[in-house]
Amino acid sequence: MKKYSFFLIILFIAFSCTDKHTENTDSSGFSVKIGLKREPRALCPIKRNGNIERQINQYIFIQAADYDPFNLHNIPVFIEKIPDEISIDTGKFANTYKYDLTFRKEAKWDDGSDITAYDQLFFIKMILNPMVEVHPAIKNLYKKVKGIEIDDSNPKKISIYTEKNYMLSKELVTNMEIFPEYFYDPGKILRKIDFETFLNEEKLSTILDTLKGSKEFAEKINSAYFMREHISGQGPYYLANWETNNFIKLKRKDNYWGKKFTNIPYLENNPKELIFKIIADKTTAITELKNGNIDILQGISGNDFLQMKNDSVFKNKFVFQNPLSMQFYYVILNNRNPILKDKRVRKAIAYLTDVDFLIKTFGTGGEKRITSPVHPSKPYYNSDLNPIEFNIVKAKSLLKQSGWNDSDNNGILDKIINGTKTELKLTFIAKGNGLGKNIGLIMQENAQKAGIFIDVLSKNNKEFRNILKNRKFDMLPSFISEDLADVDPYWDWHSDNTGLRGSNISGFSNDKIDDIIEKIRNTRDIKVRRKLYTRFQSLIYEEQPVIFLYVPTNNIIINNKFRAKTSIKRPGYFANTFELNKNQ
Amino acid sequence: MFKYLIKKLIIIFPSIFLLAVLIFFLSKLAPGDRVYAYLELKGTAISGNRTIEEKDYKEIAHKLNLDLPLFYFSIHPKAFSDSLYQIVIPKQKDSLKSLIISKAKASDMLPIISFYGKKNQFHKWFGNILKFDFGISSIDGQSVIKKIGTALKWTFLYIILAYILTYGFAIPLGIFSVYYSNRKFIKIIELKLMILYAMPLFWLATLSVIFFTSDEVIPFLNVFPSPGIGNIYGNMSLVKQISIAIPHLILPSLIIAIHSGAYLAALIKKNMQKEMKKKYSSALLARGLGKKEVILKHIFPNSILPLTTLIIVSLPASFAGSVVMEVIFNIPGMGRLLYDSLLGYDWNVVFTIVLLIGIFTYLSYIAGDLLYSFLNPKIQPWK
Repeated sequence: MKKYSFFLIILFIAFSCTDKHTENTDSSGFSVKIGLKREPRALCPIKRNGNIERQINQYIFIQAADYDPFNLHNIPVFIEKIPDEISIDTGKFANTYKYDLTFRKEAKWDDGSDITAYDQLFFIKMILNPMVEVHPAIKNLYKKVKGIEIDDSNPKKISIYTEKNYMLSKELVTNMEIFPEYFYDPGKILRKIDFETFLNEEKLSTILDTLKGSKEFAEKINSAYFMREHISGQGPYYLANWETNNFIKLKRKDNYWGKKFTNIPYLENNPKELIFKIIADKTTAITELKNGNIDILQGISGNDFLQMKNDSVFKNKFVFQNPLSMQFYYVILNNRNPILKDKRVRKAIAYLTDVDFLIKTFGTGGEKRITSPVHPSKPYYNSDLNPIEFNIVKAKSLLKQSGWNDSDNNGILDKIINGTKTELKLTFIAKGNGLGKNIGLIMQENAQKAGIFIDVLSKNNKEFRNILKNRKFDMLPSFISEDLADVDPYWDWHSDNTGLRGSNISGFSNDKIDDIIEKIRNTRDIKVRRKLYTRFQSLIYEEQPVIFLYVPTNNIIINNKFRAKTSIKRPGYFANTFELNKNQ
Repeated sequence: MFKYLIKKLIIIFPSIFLLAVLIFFLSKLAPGDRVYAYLELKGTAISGNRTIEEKDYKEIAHKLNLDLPLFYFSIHPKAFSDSLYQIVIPKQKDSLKSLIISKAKASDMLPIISFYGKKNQFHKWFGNILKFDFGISSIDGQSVIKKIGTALKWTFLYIILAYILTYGFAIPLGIFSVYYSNRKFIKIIELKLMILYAMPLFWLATLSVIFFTSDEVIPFLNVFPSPGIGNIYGNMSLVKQISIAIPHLILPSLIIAIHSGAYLAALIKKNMQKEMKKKYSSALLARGLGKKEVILKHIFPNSILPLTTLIIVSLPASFAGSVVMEVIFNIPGMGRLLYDSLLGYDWNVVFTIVLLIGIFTYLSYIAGDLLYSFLNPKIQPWK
């Protein structure tokens, strides 16, 4: 027996130390435990800010103004009001728009100092600093800032001048987090360079090369020091612990200045702690949810979501929410391919895509079909466009009109293109064996009925990226994520970006659409711009450069001990606004 | 023995050097553009969809030392300039090479050797390693050694537990199955264990999470704590961290023990049966010693020797962690770190792990020799 005593002691420890009934309420408040499938790479919104990072960043860093998650209006958060747009046509800042911002007098950093214009100035300088690694999209946006003026008598006031040719310049100056200068640049290195110098890259580089401390400043911002070890923002929570691949804990700020603004959801901090548990395995995450070791699980597939919703144990303990997500699925068609250059072939493929069946098979029922690259939640969504029906007869007729026939009776249509007999064969490249591949297989089956051969190939991440980079595909499943602000269609649909490294992956180009996109970008009158968006959607619908599928739902399961609202706004839930149900 | 140890430890340096060379060249063969990978992982490029300026590309290539020659020397066709390495943009380099090849005569394609001295990529990389500077992770900017240290702590703990449980389970079972070799119940246990051994580990692990850590199937089986390592904070003492983690690591260790213990018990039984057939065992029984005494005092010590080889061989590999177990049981160990690093092309972490495992394997083989000679004084590799 002695031999087994050690073994028994270990087992005893194991059984006696179980954490099954962890209480998450005490006199000082309650905690919310959230499951994440991986660790964020950094907690720094100027770097990558994907869904995982956003789920944590949103409580540490808040934007000067943001879209209210529940009524979707752009509301001031730590500025007093959304600024007016003032057109400047003469003087030093001619041909710019001016925005006057005033930070709330109550708005403070963690050390008790005021959030001031100098913090905003520091933030913009940091973004434009070539030594600091910033997400290129953010850097490019801030290059549109042409001048900054600070009111000497009131450091809470700042005027920002931006280029006129950008439709979202107001959002640029308001809907962005800013960083505390005292924390990220305690030596005030960037104060030594005036803002005008940041508009002259060559001069700036020369100064930065010789300025003492500038290299060390950039290195700190680029390293783990400011990406995960030292983090400070103006949000209602602060980073308390980050235990690698285990959990991240945010704690409520005591006496938070924003608490008094009860109508601004981003400033609420009801739970005392937000704990993000990193659980890579899906089954383990679901078991942990069931055990009460996590309270929220997001990003669940449609099938799993419905299965759990119908499970009696889950039904009694959780609330199942599936608001629409701010993204849509589509299949990119490579318009550079001579076969897919033909609009009738693209339309025929659209008729052969049974989107309703895809939704029924892979969705939760709350998904919404789309007809163009505009999310249905947008006020300028063109609801007059009807989703293309699944109709094999119409597809066959279009292909016939385009000159495709099965001349050799092998079941695959063919046609002479540039003097060569070409069969209607296309490759559908999916990443891995997930949803994308399944969509491809269903499309393959239907296309075959009309004489189109689709070869569905599944590639690993690396191969997929190379294929995408070199545009070596015919069809490729993908998705586009959007924000609540107006969409700039230039990047995905303008012919300027059809190059190998461009962002218009389908390679689609159309003069009329280019013209409309340019008008959208340069129109300030919202009513006129929305009309242009409607026209843009009609033209895209007519051309069908890609196959538009549907908007998936954001499947979220929340423990029903909380009163929680979800939203279409990413990431879909706002744990800082959760309240405990009265019976808890 | 002392001389033997010194000799072995001296040999370790050229071995590490060769291993480092191998790892370095493997890293160079890894697919993908390192500059783009760096930008993407830093969150400063968008999946290859946006272009970056040539100037910026060169700047990052310089930062990553990619504008230096690869090694102390290179063997290349005579037609190629010995400074071709200075062209860092792959497309430009490839088109220049094609142009040279298209215009070169056959004699220009004969190989020549160019020497570069100490200013090369390998020297910088290996020099840093000798200074214990393994660089930073390209995923999150953390020091590689810090990341490995944290992960190793948990893998080490759970592997030690798994070893204790595996051997604690397999050795008695092996002995029992020899002692009661003709009994039906032993045969049933052996069969059931073999079935468990034949089950895929990921499946066994997933089922154990569902059955033993939740009320999902049978409530009274919910006896183990949740997967993970518990609420551990970096500022806690190591003893406290371990005391919190151990209960959580019991279930994964038990699964390993049951899975590999079945095989190990069969191996022990086979070795013991082999010993049982030897004349000395019959002689001992003939002298009137009990079966139990013969098995425990004579057969078992003699049959355990081959097991030391098994331990020595499997130990270094165990420290690379098990991706399956660590993902399912949510243990932030080496397996998960290696897996995440491979997925994220974080070569600094990947190759440091490979290098450390290489060194550990070498050291464990030396330890194996010593252990072998300790268990069987007849075997003395230094003689």
